Amino acid sequence: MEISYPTEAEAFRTRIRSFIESNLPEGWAGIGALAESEQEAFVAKWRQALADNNLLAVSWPVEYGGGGLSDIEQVVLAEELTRAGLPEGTENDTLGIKLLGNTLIALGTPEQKAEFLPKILSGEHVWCQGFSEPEAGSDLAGLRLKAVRDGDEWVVNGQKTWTSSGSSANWIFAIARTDPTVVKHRGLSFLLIPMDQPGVEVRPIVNAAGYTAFTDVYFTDARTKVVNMVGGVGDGWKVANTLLGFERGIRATTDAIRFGREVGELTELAKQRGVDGDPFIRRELAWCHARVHAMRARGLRMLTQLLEGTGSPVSGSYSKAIWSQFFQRYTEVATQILGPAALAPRGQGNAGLLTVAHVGTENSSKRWVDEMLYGRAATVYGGSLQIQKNIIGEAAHGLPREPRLDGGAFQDITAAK
Amino acid sequence: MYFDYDEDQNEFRSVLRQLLAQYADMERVRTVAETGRIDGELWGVLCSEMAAPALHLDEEIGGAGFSLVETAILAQELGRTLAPVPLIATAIATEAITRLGTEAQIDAELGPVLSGERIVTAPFVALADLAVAVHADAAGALTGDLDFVPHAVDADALIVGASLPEGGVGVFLVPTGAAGVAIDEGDSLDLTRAGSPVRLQGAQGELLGGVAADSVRMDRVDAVGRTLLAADMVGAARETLSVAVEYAKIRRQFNRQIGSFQGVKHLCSDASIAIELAHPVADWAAMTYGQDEFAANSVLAKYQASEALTVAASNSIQVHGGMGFTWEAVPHLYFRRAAALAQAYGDANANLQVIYREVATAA
Repeated sequence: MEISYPTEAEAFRTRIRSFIESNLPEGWAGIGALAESEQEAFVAKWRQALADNNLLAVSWPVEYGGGGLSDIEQVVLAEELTRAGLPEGTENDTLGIKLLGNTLIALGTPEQKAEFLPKILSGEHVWCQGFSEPEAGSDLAGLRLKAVRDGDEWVVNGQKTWTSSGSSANWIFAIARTDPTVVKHRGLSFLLIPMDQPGVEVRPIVNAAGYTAFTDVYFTDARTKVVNMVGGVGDGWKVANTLLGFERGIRATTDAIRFGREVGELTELAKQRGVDGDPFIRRELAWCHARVHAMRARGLRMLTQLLEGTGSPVSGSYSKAIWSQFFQRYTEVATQILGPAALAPRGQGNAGLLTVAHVGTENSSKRWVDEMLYGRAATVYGGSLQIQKNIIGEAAHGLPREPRLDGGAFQDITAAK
Repeated sequence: MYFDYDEDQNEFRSVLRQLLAQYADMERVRTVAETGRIDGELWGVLCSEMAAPALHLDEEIGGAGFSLVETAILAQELGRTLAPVPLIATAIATEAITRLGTEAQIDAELGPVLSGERIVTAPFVALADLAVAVHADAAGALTGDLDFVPHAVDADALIVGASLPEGGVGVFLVPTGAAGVAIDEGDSLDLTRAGSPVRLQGAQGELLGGVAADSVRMDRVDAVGRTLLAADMVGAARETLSVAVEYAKIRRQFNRQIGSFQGVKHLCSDASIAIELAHPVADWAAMTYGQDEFAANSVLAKYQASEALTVAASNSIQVHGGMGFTWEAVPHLYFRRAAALAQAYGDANANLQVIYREVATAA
């Protein structure tokens, strides 16, 4: 066993570090240190720098305008960007490039690739994801967004929810029900829908922390061309699973980096508040450091398995269960450290980010209280903790599933309600 | 980058599994455990056929020249079966002898220990911490009480840290048959790794190296103990989880396999998640044997593995229901291992204090 990166990967790391250094403004202290009004402009500029250096769509093959980076190079890039607190692009890029782009490359028609991939890269098309619905959370396959064929178009009616960055998007990839007469997983299709039309309305959701990172998307006789379906009619579930598989452990080693930084700042906060001598606080901080160490060790184990092709498909469920519970606990430690000061959150907040605040965000009570509140969401979104535990129990250990009550035609199980 | 077991190590594990299927099935383990003794026959086989305690030691002193990862694999497999053999205590003893002893002491003591001819044990307590309770006089006579010495009844000698009259800590090899050594035979919490309190009253010991021990070297001896105990706990945790999972598939209530209930399933998943974290941490410690970070990594490994085994063993009893609290069912044996090893090298709070000192302040 050894944990050194291959020489070529280290050479690539050096290249990335010098790219980062030469493309950041002087005295750079992280996005969090910028005024809120300047952050968006910086991310746009940074996206352009990535694109100019062929570092934007690194997981795409070169023939589609991507970076064509190897797995280890993608890992190194993710590590260096995380370390510097820099994004891989805009929030919509994660959806457009990493998820949809790779799905189109794998399953799209030549026409779809030619039409969409260049526009994803140029930023002409800005993507969001339409999966969850008010009636379909953990039971995603129970979704109801209805699509009916009308000539060479699909007519779409219904609602998507928890759509991240929906306000900044102009296209949405969505799973819709095209056939209610068959078993629920089989009646779904994967549609690309332009949002710039009268039948699509986006409304922000104000979350419990007071931010609007998510939106509802309403469809009223919205239309999209028949050629904008990925896969065939009824293939939606398969396409969605392909799409969700594109995380592939490239970020195996970044949790330890970003959470390690957080725990470092938490330790600093304890000193500032004069409670670093308190044995109970020390115990909690030590626990946090131990957990970051465990994430680091597990990350390198996953990286090895990614490179060797020996990884487990359940590995993502372990990761989610681990980091979401950790996020909850250490942000609770933050409020313990703050004490009564947590009751009046002041200073810079977490900017509505799902997990850790931007690098350079001040060590303020508002930032930690925001994060603590967001901790409650962490075990819900992206597959709830309980769903992850089901997957671990069933897929990793072969435990039996619960008896299903949702067999038969979808229209029959929904009619019964 | 290869932070996983290589082909040879996987092969080594499967050979061990075959061997232990023969010598450490649960019935045999329990039969031996009832005597409170070690399985001498199995230990003999492990020493003679698998070079058990010699795996990670250098070839020039009679070792097999592998890494501590191999010994950790063996510790995992022994932990899995709960086989009552003194691997970890022996590894602590050999580390003390080789790192702290004179050449003459190494020559005299190591061979018979590696062959399994002699058993030298050690408490699962940091050497410097032992020295708080044990004191040496100028002639090397030791006095003090040891709360628990594993395998004490079977051991020919034990390793102990003691405060020296001139200051500092000396590490001594004490023959258990010497005058002034009293072993208080009786029950052990961990039935499959039994031991006893030992009272030293002027017992004559041999000072390793002839001088006060270097603290870095003592840390390394302790780190071997913690690292192998972490491996033992990872193996035990995997097995106790696997037993719980199998039971949850077989046992039916409400006309369903109980494992289909989320309340039961998630007990298994929680254990699985804890093991998923603890296992690479334990490996990391074994991988860094002898490096500067080894001691700190070993504390992290022991802490994390103890957490994993505690969750896995507790949840295993819960999954088994009433059956899980019977003497005849297996889960309590793992729970006992968990409860006993939680105290090894300090409990969770003590471990976290060290982690704060070593890691949090260094970060």
